Amino acid sequence: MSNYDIMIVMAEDDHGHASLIERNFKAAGLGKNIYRCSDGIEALEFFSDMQEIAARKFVLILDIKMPRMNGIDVLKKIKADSRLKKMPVIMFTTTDDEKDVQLCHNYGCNAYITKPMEYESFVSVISSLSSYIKILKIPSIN
Amino acid sequence: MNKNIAESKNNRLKTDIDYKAIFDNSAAGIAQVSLDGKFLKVNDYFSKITGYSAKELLGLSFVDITHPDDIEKDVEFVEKLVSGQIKKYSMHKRYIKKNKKHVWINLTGSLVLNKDKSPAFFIAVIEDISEYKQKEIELHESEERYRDLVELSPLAIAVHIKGLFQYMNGACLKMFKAQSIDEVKNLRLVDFITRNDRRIVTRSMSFAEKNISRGRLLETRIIDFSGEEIPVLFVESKIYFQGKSATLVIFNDISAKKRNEAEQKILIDQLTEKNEELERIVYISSHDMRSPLINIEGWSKHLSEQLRVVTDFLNEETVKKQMNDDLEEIVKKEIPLGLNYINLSVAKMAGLLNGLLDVSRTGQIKMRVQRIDMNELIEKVLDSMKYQINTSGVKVSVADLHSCCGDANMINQIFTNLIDNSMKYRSDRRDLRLSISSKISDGYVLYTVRDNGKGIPESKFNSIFDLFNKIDPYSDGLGLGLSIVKKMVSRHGGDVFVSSREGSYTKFVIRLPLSDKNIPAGGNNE
Repeated sequence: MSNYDIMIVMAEDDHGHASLIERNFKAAGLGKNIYRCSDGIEALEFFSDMQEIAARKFVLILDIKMPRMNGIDVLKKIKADSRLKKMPVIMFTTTDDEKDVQLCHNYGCNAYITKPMEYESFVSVISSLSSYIKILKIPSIN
Repeated sequence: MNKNIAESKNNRLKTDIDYKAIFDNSAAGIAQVSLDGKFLKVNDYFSKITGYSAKELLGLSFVDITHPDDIEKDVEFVEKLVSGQIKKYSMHKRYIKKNKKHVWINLTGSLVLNKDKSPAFFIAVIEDISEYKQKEIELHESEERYRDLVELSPLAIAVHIKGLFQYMNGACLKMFKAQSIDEVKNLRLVDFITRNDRRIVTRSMSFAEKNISRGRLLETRIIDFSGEEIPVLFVESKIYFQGKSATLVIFNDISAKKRNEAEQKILIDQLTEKNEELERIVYISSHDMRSPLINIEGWSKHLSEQLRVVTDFLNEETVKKQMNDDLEEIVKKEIPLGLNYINLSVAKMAGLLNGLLDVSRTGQIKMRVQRIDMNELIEKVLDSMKYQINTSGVKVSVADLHSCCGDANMINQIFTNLIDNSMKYRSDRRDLRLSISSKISDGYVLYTVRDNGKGIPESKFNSIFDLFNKIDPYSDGLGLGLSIVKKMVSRHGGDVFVSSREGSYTKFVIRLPLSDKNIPAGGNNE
C-alpha cells in the first residue's frame, strides 16, 4: 500500500501559508487528501469526530502560533492520547526558537521544520517533506 | 636589779643589731635625714637608686637631689610632719640621679622624736617605681589616644552601664539627634530600639554582659530623638569606663546600604522585566514578523509565475493584435515592476530580521569554553574564505599565534567577521595585505588583525560597533558584523579596540582570556 492514500491534516491559521503549502503538496503528488483546520481546537475536533472518515492513516502538520489553541498544546494532547499518539506529527512553523524546538521534541513530535522565508527554499522544503511522507510506514489509527 | 639592767642592755644590743641588718640589707632605700634636710646615714640600696655613694650623699640635702617640680610638695609634707599634723607621708617624686637622669620613687617619710617629744630626725624609705610610672604614662597616653579615636570616629559609639547610657561620641549624638551627653545620660538604651526588636536586643545585651567580651552583631533599628527610625548594625563589647565595668556599643548606620539594596532590587526587577520584554520581541520577530513575509514572498513568486504564463499567452501574435495596448503595458511592465520591488523589499526585510535575531541570540548561546589553538582556528577561518582570498589577490601573513581560552565557534565568527570586513573595505589603489599576530599581556592574549585598506575616520571609532551601523553606507551587508564581534568578545570577558588612519590602515585588537579563570561563569550576558 502506498502512502499516496494517507490523509494530511494541516492546522494552520494563516490562509496564505495554508494555500502555499497545499499547492506545493499537490505539486508533489500529495494533494488529494488534505484537510485544513484553522486552529488547534479544530484539529482536535477533527480527530474526535473521526468515525465518519474512511481514511485511517494520517500525518498531522502543525503550526505553533494559532488562536484558541497553539500547536504545542495540540501536540501534547495528541501524544498523550493512547489512540492518536502513533500518528506522525510534523511541526511546520515560522519560528526556529530553540526553546520551542526542545519543547516539541520533549512532547514527542516526529519532526520540526521551519518555514523558510525564501520561496525557493520553501518549495524545496515541502517537496522534501512530501518525499519523506511518501516513504513513511504509518500505523493506522483504529 | 643589776640582773635586770644587764638583761635590758643585752636586749637593746640585740635589737640594735637587728635594726642594722634590716637597714643594710633592705630592698628599699633607707636614709636618716637631719631636721635641716641633710642626709645623715643611707643604706646601700639608697645609694643604688640615687647613683650617689654614701659618702657623697652625706654632704647633700634631700632638696639637692629632688626634681625641682617635686620639691615644693615634699617640703610641705615635711613641715606638716614637724608641726605634728601628720605622722608620716607617702608621695611619688623624682630624684635627680648622679648621672643627671631622673628616677621615679615612692617616698615614705616619717619623723623620729626625742624622749622629750622634740623632733630628732627623719627617716626616708624609698622604692624605685620607674617601671610602674612608665606604664602609668603609657596607659595614660593610650587612654588619651583611644578617647580621641572614639571621639573622632565616624561610627556612633556609646557606653552604657547596665543598660543606662553614660557616654556618646559625637557621631552617636548626631545619630540620636541629641545635643549633649547630659541629654542622654542615664536613659535606657532599650527605649531607643525599635519596639519589635527590644526583646532580642535585651537578650543580646545580657549575653554580652555575662559571657564573653564581645556580643553578637545584630541588625536592628534605633529611634532617634525626633522619632525617626534608623537601620543599624549593633555590636557590644565589655570595657572599663571611669573605673567601672561598662559596655561599649557601636551603632553602624546602614540606611545607605538599605537604600542601595532597595534601589538595586528595583533595578533588578526592571532589568528582569526588560529582559523578558526583549525575549518577547525576539520571539515575535522570529514568528509574527516572518509570517507575513512568507506570504509576500510566496505569493509574489507565485504571481510572477502566473504572469509569465499570461505574458507567453499575450506574446502569441493572434491574441496580441486583439489586446489593448494599455493592458499590455500593465501586464508586461507595471505588474512585474511592482513584484520586483516587493521581492527586493522582502529580501531586505528578511535579512534585517535574521541579522537582528543573530545578534540577539549571540547573548543567549551557551558557551563551550575550551583551550583554543589559534593557529589551527585561523587556518580554518582562512580556508573557509579561500575562494575570495585567492580571486582578489589578498596577501595574508599569520604569525605564530598564542592560544587562548573560549568558545571555538564564537572566536571563529569573530575572526571571520574581521577578515571579511578587511576584504570588503579594501583600498582600490593597492592589493590587500592582511596580517594577524598576537602577544600576551596580563593574563590575556591580544590578537591584532591589521590591513592596509580604506581605513575608518576617527569620528566613527565608537559607532562602528553599533547595531546596523555600516562603515560604508553603500557597501553590501547589514552592519552587524562588528556588533556581533563586540558582543562575542565581551561574553568572553574580553574587549575589542580599533585604531585606523583613513586611506592607510585599520587595526583591530581583540583581547581574549589566556585561561578560563577570566571568563565569567556561563559567559557575560548582556
